[in-house]
Formats: sequence, C-alpha cells, structure tokens
Amino acid sequence: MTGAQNREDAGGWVTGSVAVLTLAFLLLPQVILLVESFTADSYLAFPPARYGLRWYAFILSDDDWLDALGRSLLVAAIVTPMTLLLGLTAAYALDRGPARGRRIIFTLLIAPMVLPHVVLGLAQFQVVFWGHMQDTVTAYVLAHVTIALPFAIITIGASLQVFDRRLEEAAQSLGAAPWRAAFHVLLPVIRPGLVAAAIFSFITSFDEFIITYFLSTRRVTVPIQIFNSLSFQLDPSIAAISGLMLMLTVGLTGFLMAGGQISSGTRIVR
Amino acid sequence: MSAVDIENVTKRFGQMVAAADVSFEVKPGEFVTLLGPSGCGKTTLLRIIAGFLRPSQGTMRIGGAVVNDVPAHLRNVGLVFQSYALFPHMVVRDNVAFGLRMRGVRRREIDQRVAEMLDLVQLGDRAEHLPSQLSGGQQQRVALARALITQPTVLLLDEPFSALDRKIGETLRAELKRVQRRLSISTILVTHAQDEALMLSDRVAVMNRGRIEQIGVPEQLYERPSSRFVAEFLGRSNLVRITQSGRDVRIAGPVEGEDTPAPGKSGVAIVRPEHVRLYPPDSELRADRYGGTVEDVQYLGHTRIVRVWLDAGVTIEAIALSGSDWKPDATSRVIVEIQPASFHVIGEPTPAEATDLKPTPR
Repeated sequence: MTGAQNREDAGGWVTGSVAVLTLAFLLLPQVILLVESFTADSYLAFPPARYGLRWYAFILSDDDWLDALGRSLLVAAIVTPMTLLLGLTAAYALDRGPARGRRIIFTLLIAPMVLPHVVLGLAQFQVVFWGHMQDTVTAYVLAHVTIALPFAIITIGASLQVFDRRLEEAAQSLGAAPWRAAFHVLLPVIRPGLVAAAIFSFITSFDEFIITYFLSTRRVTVPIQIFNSLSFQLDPSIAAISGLMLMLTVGLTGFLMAGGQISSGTRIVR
Repeated sequence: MSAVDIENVTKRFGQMVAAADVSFEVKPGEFVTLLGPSGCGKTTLLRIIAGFLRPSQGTMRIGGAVVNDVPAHLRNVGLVFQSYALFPHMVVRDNVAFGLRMRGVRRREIDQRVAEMLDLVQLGDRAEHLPSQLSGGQQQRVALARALITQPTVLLLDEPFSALDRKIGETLRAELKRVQRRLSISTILVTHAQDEALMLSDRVAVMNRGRIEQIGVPEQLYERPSSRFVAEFLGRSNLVRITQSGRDVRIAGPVEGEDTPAPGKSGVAIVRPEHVRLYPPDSELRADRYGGTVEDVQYLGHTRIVRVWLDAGVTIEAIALSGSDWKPDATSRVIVEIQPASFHVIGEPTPAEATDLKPTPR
C-alpha cells in the first residue's frame, strides 16, 4: 500500500468519525427522549424500567393536551392551504410578471425568514393587541402564514424556474386556453414543489413557538403547552407529546423525501 | 386559398427588428422551410404564426382568416419543438389525446383516433409508456402524432431533428416526409440545416437578418442563388470575378472584401465545387482551363475537397470523388476546368436592399 493511499484512508476515517459524532450529537438527545416517552413509570428515566403507552394514552385523554393539540392541528390545517395559495400566486407573479421591481418584491416577501423572530413576535403582538385578537386561531394563522410563506415562495419558485414553458405552449397549440394549460400541464408538473411547500408550511406552523408565545395567554398551541408544563413539573407526558410531534414531523418529511423519488406518473386527463 | 398567408409582417423587439417586412404563403399540402443561421428571425416568424408573438405590422392569415388577434389556442396549428415538449406526467396515449380532449371530443372517438395516429407513427405498442421511458426519436414521433391528431390547418416544426443523433434524425426525416405526404398537411419547418431543408421541402425560404433573401424550390436556390448570402449558406461555393466575351467566360480575379459585390456589371459569379474538374498538369490548356497549384486536400471519405491556388490569383475549391485514379497532393500542379455554363452570375443586391434597415442589437 502506498503512502498516498494510507493518507486517503486516514482522511476517510477522520471524516467518517466526525460525521458519526455530529449525527449523534444532533439526533441522540431526541432518540433518548423518544425512548423515554415509552416509559410505563411515573418518572422520566433512561432507559425506562418498564415500557408502555401509558403516557401517550394520558396526553390523548387529558383535556389540556387535547385542547392544545387540536388547536395546533387546526391552525396548521388552515395555514397550509393559505400559504400554498399565496405562495403559488406570489411565485407565479415573480416568475412571469415584469422584471421591474422583481428583486425588491421577492426580498420583501422572504424577509420574515431572516428577521429575528423575537422582533417579529413583538411587532405582531402589537397588531394583535390593537385588534383584540390575542388567544385566537386567527392571530396564530396570520403569524404562521407570515413565516411559512418565504419557504413556500422559494420552493414553488424553484419548480417554476425549471419548468419548460414550451410545455404550456404545446398545450395551447393543442387548443387549451392559457388557464387550462396551467391546470393540466403546469400544476401537475410542478406538483413535487407544491407538495414540498405544503409540508414545509405544515411543519413550520406546527412547530412555531416564539411568535405564538407573544400572541397567546391561555388558549395555547402544543409547543407553548410543553413550555408551560415544564415550568411546573417534568413528567413523562412531556416526553410523550414531544414524541408525538417528532413522529409527525419525521413522518411528513419522510413522505416528502420518498415523494421526490416517486415519478408523478398519474393520469390527470381522464 | 392558402393554408398560411403572411403579408408584410414586421416584428420589432424594442430597437431590434427580428422580422422585417416578410411576405410568403404556404399552399395547401405544401412543405415550406424557413432556413437560416441562428438569429435570422426564422423562429420569431414561427412563433408569430403559432400565436405566441404578435406581429408589429402586417397581416397573418391561416386558412384564409386573419388571425393577428386570435390567441394561440384558437388557431388550430400543430406544433413540434426541438425539445419534444411532451407532457412528462402523461403516458403516450394521453399526450396524443390531449388536443382532442381539449376540444371535447367523445371518449370513444378519441380512443379510435389515438390508436390510428399511434399506428401511423409506428408507436402502437408504446401507448402506456411515459415519455421518459422512450428514446429521443420515439419521443419526437409522439410529439408529431400529438400535433397531427387535431388535423391542424398547418403543422409548424421548430428544429425538430436538431436534438437527435444524426442517424435517428435521418430516419425520422424520411418518416416525417412520408406522414406529411400521406396526410397532405401544409407544413412549415424551421431549421438551420441545409440538407434537411433541401431534402424535405417543396420550397425553401432562406432568411438572413430578419428578411427572406430568396424563396424557391430547392434546385433553384442551389443552382441559381440570387445573393451571395444564399450561395454561401447553401452548400460550398467559389465566388469569383469574371469576364465574358462571346461564349467564353473566364475568371478575372478574386472578389475583394467581405462585402457583397456590386450587382451585374462587375460580373461576380459563383461556381459550385462539384462543377470544377481537375486534370493532371500535362493536360491541354484550353479557354475554359486554368493552371494552378494545390494548396491542401481535405479527405472526407466519399470525396476529397481540393483547394487550388489558380495562377489568376484566386483560390478555387473542387470536389474530387475518392474513386478516381489520379489523386493530386498538396503543392502539386494541376489543370482546373470550369465550363462556361458552370458560372452563375449573382444578380444581387439592388441598392435599395443594401441600404435598408438592418437589425441592431439592443
């Protein structure tokens, strides 16, 4: 074996170790929490002495947790289609509209992604306070759409950019009015981008903490409820609700990644 | 009534003139090719006919009706792109059926016509495949079937063979010609490939800088080009200054500069290399023969291109078939024969054309 090969092997070994350590640092705490959530005891311990679904049963029967979970799901369920619709129209306008002012509009639309969320939260708190909308689903929806929209615009915009407009022209030459060409050709072809945007929006809303914290007092979402419960006690119910959120998020992301490989070979004109 | 009639159509993009006062017509069943280098305005013209661009001036008729203000989806034209532009999310059958579905044709009739059309392009066994599962040639045949199924007034082809391997492109050309004849559908092909244009077309329009330089049947364009541009764009050509006395035509010297020569009287003519004959240096020197020295020889398989520096101070290209016994090498002396009938005097341009507006880049 030559010296160069030796060095290369050593390099590969180092890179591999760093990668494993980084992944462990990122994922292990969550794995531990997930394992802990399946405890059958009334205290958190790793590894748990006995396993069971006791705490999952608990959060799914506890009024406070159910209330927060229902609200979180409701908000995310409204935020997702709203963001999708706004994101699609904004991305389409940026893609097809006049070049003039495009950069400025784009920058303004994605600004919430880079602005400090604490500042955004405070600003939205003022608006919501003046409008007497604290503790309302409406307030949460508006806040979540603001921060989910940039991701949707970027994702859908990327799909529109690689979309071959000759497909639309071909459809039009075959007798499809522009809106029908968009419906039968553009939308199905950019569908992976739309699905990604939808899932990103859902997760963004479902996970959102900082801004929602400013806007809520008693009618809270799951992340706020977790935070509030921690102030009183640390019992396995928190691990269980965290496990639930983790599984939902990972499940959606997994679906998204799998969807990227599945060809969209569906028949839309039937 | 013509299938397509274009009258004095001009298209400007800001200061740039992409099409300048273009007029031509396509008769029913005729195959017309717009031939020219990139940027000559041929694609602009095709997009105007398809309805994706609106002419700045002039009148466009399809099937006798003025269509200047008719949107693309109501024009009943068939369109085939270089990139195929098949709908990637639909199987072949649905791609081909698309035009009929948009027209609300009944399901049973659609199925029947799709099957017929797929048979016509010999893809009956690929109906359930996605475009991504087909080869380039097959995809382009699907695109052709899709464009033809609605029985368009005119079929528009935008460089349809350019993305294909040469062999497959040639097969597809023959197939296109067969289908076009069979359906006797009026067709406009846009291409930069002269062999494609000459092989397929009833008439060819050579375009340059937004204008049609010359339009005519392929033989006419090749043998009697009306301008230096057409002569040089189509095939190989030798451009020379000539003197005429009675029946004799002699090469007088080279044509100076890159500019188009002044018309007629100065006697500028082209000679196609295949009309130039080469003889060994000890051959008889007659009125239609010239002494010269070979500059170089390009071997092309079936032929060789021999460049000869004539004693008259002109370089002449000759095509020699590879089969001949006598093969001149570089630096060898040769006798070149060009018969008077082989000179074609270029009768262009008129002064008006030379000074007319030219497109200026933005």
